Amino acid sequence: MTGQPLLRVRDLAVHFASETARVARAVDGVSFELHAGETLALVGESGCGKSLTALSLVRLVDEPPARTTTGSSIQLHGEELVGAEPARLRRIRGGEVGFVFQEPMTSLNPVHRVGRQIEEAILAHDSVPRATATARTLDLLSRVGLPEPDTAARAYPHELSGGMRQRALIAMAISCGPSVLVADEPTTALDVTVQAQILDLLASLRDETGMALLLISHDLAVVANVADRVAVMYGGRIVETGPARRVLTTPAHPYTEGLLRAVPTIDDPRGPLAVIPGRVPSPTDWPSGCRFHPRCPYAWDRCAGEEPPLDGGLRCWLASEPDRRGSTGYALVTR
Amino acid sequence: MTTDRPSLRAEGVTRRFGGAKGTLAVDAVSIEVRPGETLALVGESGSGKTTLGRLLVGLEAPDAGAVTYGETALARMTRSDLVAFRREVQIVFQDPYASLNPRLTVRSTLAEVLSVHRIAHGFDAEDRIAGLLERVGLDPASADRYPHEFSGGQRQRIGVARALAVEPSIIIADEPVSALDVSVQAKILALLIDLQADLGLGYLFISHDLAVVRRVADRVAVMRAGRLVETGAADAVYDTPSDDYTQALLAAVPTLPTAT
Amino acid sequence: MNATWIDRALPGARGLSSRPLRSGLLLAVWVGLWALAIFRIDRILATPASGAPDHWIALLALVGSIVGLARFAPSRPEGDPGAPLETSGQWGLAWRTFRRHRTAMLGLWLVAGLALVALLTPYIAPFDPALQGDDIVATRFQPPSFEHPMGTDRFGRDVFSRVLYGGRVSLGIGGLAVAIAVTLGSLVGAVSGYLRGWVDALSMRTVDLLLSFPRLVLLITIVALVQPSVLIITLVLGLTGWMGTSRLVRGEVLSLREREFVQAAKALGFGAPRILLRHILPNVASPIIVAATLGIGNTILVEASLSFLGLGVPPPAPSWGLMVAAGKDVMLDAPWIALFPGLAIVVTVMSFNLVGDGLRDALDPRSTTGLAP
Repeated sequence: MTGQPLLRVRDLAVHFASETARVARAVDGVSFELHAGETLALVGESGCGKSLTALSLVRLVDEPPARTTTGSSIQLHGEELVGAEPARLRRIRGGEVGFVFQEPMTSLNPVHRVGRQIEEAILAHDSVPRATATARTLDLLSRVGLPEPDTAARAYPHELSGGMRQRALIAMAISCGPSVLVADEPTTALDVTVQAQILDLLASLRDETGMALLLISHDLAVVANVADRVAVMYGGRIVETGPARRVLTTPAHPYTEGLLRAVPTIDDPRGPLAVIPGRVPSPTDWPSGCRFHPRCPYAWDRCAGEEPPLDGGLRCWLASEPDRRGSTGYALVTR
Repeated sequence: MTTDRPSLRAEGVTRRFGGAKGTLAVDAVSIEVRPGETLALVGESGSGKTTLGRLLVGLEAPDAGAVTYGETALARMTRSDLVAFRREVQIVFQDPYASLNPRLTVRSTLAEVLSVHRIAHGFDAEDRIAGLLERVGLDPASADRYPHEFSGGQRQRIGVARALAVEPSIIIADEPVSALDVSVQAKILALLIDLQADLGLGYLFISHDLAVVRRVADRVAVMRAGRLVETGAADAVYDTPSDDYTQALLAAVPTLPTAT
Repeated sequence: MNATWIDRALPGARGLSSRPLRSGLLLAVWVGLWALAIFRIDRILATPASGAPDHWIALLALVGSIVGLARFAPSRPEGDPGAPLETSGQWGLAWRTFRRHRTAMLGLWLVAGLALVALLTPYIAPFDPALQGDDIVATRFQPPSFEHPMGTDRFGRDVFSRVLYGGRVSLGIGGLAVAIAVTLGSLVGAVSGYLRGWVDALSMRTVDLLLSFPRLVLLITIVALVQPSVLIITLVLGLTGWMGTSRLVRGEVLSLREREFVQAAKALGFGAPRILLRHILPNVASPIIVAATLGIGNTILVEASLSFLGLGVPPPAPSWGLMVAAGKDVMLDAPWIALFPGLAIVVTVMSFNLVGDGLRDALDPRSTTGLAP
């Protein structure tokens, strides 16, 4: 990783004022960098803040109720986005930063033809004649691997399969040549066989254009095949980050370990899975100290009292006291 | 665990949607769900696996073929046969948010089942409800809460408790963990496995996730476009799949890297 | 601090305005009720003798509201905004949302006030609404004065008393007609949505047919055929107002019957009536309540229009529409005759619409389920 990062996020915190006047610290001090041509995966379970992190990069979260705290910094090509003009942010959304969402059905407007929607996206950012936009749309549709771009462009969203819709959405997201593509659970709603194709497509588009890919997923196995680096989130914070292969094979954080052991794989025979005890706490009251300590099999008194810093890609006191990782570990099959 | 309780069979069932020229959702499928064993029904969206599940619980009627429990075909059951059938074959749904009536507390949901089937009343019902909640790993003290006050995993447990209330021998589980987070998914799978070991339940485990299925299945049936393309013991299907489609499905499953 | 019992009396008044104003208002209502009890003690004492049901209801309402204001509402702990959400179900959540809706709370206060005034009319009204002045020529067309706060009409009758009695008629007709319409509409809608098939086709075509008649023309026709009375008007309004509700309910039921919890109920062997009444209808309650609330305002307007046209409540009975009609000819000379009943119509209809809009927001499933992560 050399040179200037495309995107540099420092201490990003997004808070929600709830009706009971308690603040939900949904994203709480997240920092990462994204370089050209690289894929970073943000992984974690629902409620860990991964999607919110992605959405707040270009302020797609309604403020209020959300509030990006003043200490936050999001720099795209060195330009500060926290506190940027709304007009500037609109240019960046769909321009510099493209988005692909989970639901290919609801992300497209059902009353307009697919091609037309992509054209509109192009015209919203580039002042080109409509004919140019049409030509570019067809080119994009063929680049995302739709066999008959003409037919796809004339189709309404419901006439396409889930995988084809997701391809069309990817075409829309890259229509203005973004330098960062954010894909929020892009394959979750798709069949396994289609999943792999969409992931391949994203990876090849990344290589072709040199854009950076920020992949948000709850599925560690999906991430494993595409990501260069992984950042595991828990409780609104990054708890472990590092090269994908290292994190997914030799996890250092107990949460990553638990998550990986809970993932069923196709090679293991029938039998029990490891279980992380307890449940994700509410963002209005994160536990004191390390936010994972109430569920951690290795936790000791220090973990409850003091929150470990994110140091060397790991936010855990085990970093300084590795002997504590005893033989206890995660229990198999408990209720 | 072996029992002499009867199994649930589909014999050449066909279900077509949208009139005589409509799509064949299920096309002449025969399978058997036995108590004490897990049959996994695997397929992609639109393969007809959910429709087959609904046919097996009697939520849909087949256009051809028959669903039989024990000796009797569902279509030929009398009213009282059907009531008895409902107590033997139950269903658990995918979406833990949609599968519970938002206006009823957990207690009312379970009490209703117990009273409709004349299983228990009054104090007896209270005891049973507490027992059911404990059985699925919920605090009996939370019985007076509404569904929206529970997490997705807890709601799925309530759904399981509702199915268990009639003491069935077979449960059709339609994508029971697909909507859940990985760590929650593991707990619900553990619960289902436990219940099977203790109660000798038979499962039809409908899922699109081959990795999850591997954890629970004794036998696997693969469905594509309404037809069964492969059926067999789980190990055989996973290790030596005979059908091309099964092979493609298995190859597409994303895997975690292994430490070398 | 008097705030404590006031909070008990009307929990949720918080949304209306700041604490002092609310406390003052409630105190004023309470004092007003006592004043009424003291100054109208003669009428109250005469109640058993007269035996009129009107008066009995008024007596019950008076005692009930005094006692209720003072103690019966559940106490609410003050402060601690951080207290966790108590187990309250969807209605509780909806109430929390509603309470924060200022205009809706204003509407609710007005509706509650109108209802209380309507119930207590026999005690509040200074005069008999049909009582004409001793000397018609001398007492008619009097402008508002201390004795007649809203003046007198062409027969020397007290407009204030007539507005009060007219309110009873309007609210009664509105409430009852909507109750009929909503019950009928929900029943038809629920059955046709649940059973589908020919039942659905038949009832929905009937609805289409009925909806294609202009309602006012339909009403005028019916009223021309039947001698109108308060009861007839109520029935006719109710029987011509159910179609919208039935369509609404049918749509909801059609989508609810495919929901998994309904499927689960079927798989558990529950019968159709049980599924419909216990699992489906309670989930349609929200839109029905909203429709009913907005419907009351609308029905009051229609009743007023009918009466204005002389086709509604028959003349000696006080009705706002009739009073506006009677006042329209002398609008320039004695504007108060039409003005006050007109204002009453506006305020009443507006109050119901405010409450209806607030309910629509509060009962929107998107806003209530959003609280559970």
